[in-house]
Amino acid sequence: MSESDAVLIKPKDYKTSVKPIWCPGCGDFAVLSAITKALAWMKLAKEEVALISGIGCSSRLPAYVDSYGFHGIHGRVLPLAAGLKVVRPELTVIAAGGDGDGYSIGGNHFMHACRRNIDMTYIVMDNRVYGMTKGQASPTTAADWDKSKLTPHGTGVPPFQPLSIALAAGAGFIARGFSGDPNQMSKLIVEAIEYPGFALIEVLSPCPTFRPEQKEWKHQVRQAEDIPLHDPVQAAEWLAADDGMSSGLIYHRAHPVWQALHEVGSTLADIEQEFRI
Amino acid sequence: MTVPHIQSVEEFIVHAHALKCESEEQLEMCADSLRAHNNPEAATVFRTLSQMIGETIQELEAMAEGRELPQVPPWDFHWQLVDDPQCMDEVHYLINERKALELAQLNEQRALKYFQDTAEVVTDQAVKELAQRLHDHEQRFFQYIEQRLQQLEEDVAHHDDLDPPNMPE
Ligand SMILES: Cc1ncc(C[n+]2csc(CCOP(=O)(O)OP(=O)(O)O)c2C)c(N)n1
Ligand code: SF4
Repeated sequence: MSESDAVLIKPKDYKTSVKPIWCPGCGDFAVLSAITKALAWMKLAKEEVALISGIGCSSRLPAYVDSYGFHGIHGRVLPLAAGLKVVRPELTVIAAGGDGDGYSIGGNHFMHACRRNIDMTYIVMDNRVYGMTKGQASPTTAADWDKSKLTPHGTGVPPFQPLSIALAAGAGFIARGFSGDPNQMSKLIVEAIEYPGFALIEVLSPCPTFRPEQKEWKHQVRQAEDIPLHDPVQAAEWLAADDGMSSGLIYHRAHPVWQALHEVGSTLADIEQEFRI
Repeated sequence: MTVPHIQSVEEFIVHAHALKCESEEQLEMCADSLRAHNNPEAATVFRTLSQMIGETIQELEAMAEGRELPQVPPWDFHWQLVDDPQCMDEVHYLINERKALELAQLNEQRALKYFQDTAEVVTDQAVKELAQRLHDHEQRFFQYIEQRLQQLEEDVAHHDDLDPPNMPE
């Protein structure tokens, strides 16, 4: 982008006229704001961007962003986004959803997306609860959270550690953002889009309705200073020592990007040719 | 707070525009969300206030026409150094008009302070005058809220939520 240009940046231009139905105070509003800021800053054409989601409150995002969008099925955001990127490599593909969508029903896809390293951005709005289905524990919920009728004594299971798992599975871009700081988040989104490969942004996005105590996150989240790390062993140690409240780009390392062997536009016959014996 | 020095009117327009767009967006989000949650009274408060901010945005956009503007990324705006009260996460679906006005007031403190501080510290006369003018806009916004608050009855305490979203065991 040139140093000087004659236009003002208007993130609002990247919003649709569909009004969000999120609860007042939901952290997902800030994620919407950060995405539109990032797209506006990068001056991406709307038809060059595709926002893909699964199911959940957070997964409603594509309806609110004026780009291509697909509101998929629960847990399948990553295979949908991967399929799209493979056949339309020129698109900027952003996958988005919740911790339930991505780490529970979609957990297996998550690990393999990290490992496969297709060039796309994955934003997970982690509120440590299933918001849409009225407040059940998710994989990232603390073991002793006992506010859901389904787990009256807590889950008793240690929470899933998405960033450590992403690192172990081979992801090369791992970041944590916070809804209380959408401008900082927009920077992470720009960096993630620019990163050639699978870029994970875990966003601490409070659900004030079912986890009102998360309003306290604004006093707990801090920007980490000793990052990004480039060595996986150091990053693993850093993540193991972190309390989950440090934000910023944590790990950055180049890995070979997965691309389809066949040219876009290949026919089924071309592909079958290879399998003929 | 120390406001970093603004070097030119162009730079200040970019900062002020982004700040007002952010305020407008926050108020609009509250309005949309309260509308969706069947609280038209509070939604109207936020909508009216966001429209007032929209007028300032239009003025800044008109001023920007034909100028060579610096490009400042969203994460580099100076006004982020001002303590952000982050009041919007206090919006509840049952808030009344009074509470909505008070939250909007809190939301706008950042702009008020940023324009005031800039008007005080900058040396460039044109920037100083624009900062002063925007500060005057802010004051009118606050006066309007004050008037509305006076017209309302004394605070009827926050409604009790008779159908809470989550019932602890
Ligand atoms: C196959 C399938 N299983 C279960 C559901 C019910 N369901 C809808 S959303 C959801 C979880 C949402 O949680 P999360 O992804 O964390 O999103 P949030 O609503 O918190 O943003 C579940 C289990 C479904 N829609 N489809
Ligand atoms: S239930 Fe929670 S996650 Fe869903 S919209 Fe409401 S606050 Fe957001």
